Amino acid sequence: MDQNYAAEGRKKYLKFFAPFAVVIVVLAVICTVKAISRADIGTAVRTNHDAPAERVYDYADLLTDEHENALRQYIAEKEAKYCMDFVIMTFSQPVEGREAKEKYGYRSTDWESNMMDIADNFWDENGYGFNKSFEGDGSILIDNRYVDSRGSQRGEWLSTSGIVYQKMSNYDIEAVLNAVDQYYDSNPYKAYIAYIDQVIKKAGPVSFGAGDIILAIVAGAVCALIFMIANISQGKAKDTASLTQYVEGKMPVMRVNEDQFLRKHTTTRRIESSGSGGGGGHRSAGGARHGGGGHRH
Amino acid sequence: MFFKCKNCGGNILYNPEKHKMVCPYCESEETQEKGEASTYGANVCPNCGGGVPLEQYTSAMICPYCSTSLIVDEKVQDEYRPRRILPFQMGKEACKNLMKERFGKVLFAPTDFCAEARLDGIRGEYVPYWLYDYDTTASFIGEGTKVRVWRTGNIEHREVSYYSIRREMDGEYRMVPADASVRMPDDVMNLIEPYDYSRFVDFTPEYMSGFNSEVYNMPSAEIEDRAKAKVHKSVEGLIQNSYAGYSTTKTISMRINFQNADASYCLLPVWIYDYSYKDKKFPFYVNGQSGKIVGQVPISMSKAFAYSGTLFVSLSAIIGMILYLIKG
Repeated sequence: MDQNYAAEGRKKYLKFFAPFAVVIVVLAVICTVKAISRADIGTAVRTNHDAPAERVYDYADLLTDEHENALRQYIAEKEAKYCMDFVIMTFSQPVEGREAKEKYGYRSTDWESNMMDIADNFWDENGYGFNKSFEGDGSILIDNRYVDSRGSQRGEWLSTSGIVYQKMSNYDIEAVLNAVDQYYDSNPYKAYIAYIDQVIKKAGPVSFGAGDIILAIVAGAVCALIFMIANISQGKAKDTASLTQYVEGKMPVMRVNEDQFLRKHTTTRRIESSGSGGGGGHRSAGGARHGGGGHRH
Repeated sequence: MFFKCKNCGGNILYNPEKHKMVCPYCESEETQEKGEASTYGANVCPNCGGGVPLEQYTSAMICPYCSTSLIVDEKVQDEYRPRRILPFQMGKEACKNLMKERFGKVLFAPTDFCAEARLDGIRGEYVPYWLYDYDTTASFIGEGTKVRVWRTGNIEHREVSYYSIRREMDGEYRMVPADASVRMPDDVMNLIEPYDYSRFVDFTPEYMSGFNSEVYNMPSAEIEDRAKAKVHKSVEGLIQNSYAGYSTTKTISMRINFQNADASYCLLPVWIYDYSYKDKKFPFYVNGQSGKIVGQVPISMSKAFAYSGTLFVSLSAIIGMILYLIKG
């Protein structure tokens, strides 16, 4: 008889997990097909041929020829792999104040506005963008090293476009700028490599990795644990006899039912308030949608 | 005594579904006549002559040899004669189906828990109860607060009003039950309530045919406190409900007087399923009238780990593959 119970138990177990087995088999087939179809993917096809081939404009002469070439090669590899353009432009020019506005035709006397305009316009006028020349995918980092007797106007500005603009939040932009700042004074070459790597990390395609495997295991373990606890715990019988269960006529007689007001007291307190703010994207002079931000040094 | 069918001589039993005596052999109804005299003392089945393990309080039992339903005359007469009996309203098959319905889908229960062979062991038992009558007068004095909060600008105002609460309540409590069997756990018997007393009938031994039973194990005075505790709970709850609108309350005094106490002896129906798993007993008690079940299903840890482990592997694989499809 015990053998019969064991066989019945096995049958129930198999019946319970049959739908899971079907789902696993179907998913395994789809994953295999995807893995095979992705095997030949190595380089993406550029669809914007209007932009110049140059990606590194070192007008401030911060980089050695060797570093410039290394950067160009690094950018070329990353662009082909991640389908987004990377442009670096260094210069040394005043971007703040009335004099600069009049001399260079800026629309503002403000450092942030002018850095943003320079970055956006450089991107738009050169027609950068991996997939198209207007609002195409990619980003530009401009680095101003201007210092005069009145002070420093040094700092970098990141301008994003297309998919990079869509994917990167203000928090992500801040992370890229912080990565650049780490090497800004000590090693500009490393600072620009950090810019490229961080943009790829924040806006590049997500890929399946060890973190996902751990996530799957943890999620499976949590679900299994909840399932186990839910099935082990049982609802206990409750006392279902009502309060008037044994009262004749189901209603006692309330002879006295008095509520008398005694006293009252009132207290007051001041409520503290707090506020918060935020920012978003913008449009360049050419009408293209950009995101971005900068750090002044 | 036992009841035999006038038509076929078989042991005729009380049928809860038909509410009458039915012969399980020839299906005759109400054809009972009394069999032999009492078996008490001799401890011998009057039908087959086998020895029956009669215990001190046993008033009805099933012969372990010939399955004849035996009723001990001395235990249903005089001071042991119940004033009322609530006959089984639910038969054994209905009880088995109820157990299957309720516990058949408990995933980690041992596979044989709801097996037909095991559930066949369910037995019906009339449990002795004392039913207590009380007239009560309760008086309550307490203090309650009501809180009102409002704002003017950035200032919050909080006003607390205090009230004196006074209640006096009369209640006629009738047939408050307390089981009078040492074998039955008191907490379980409290949970198995309530019974619908409108189905009470005057006692006759025919209702016991086919079931086990005991006489009361102790006098009414010995367990009266349990009935009074139920009345206390009821009175306190009813008074609390009468001042439910307060934010906070505190009791200053609460007194309950019991008057005109009376107690009567009766039998109430319970189905019992004694299930053993890994040398441990898991008794289940089912109200023989309403079908309310009290008991905890044993958990097969091997089943729990097998199911949860497989689920863990399956879900991890499914989630992993979905993540691969999204990100890979």
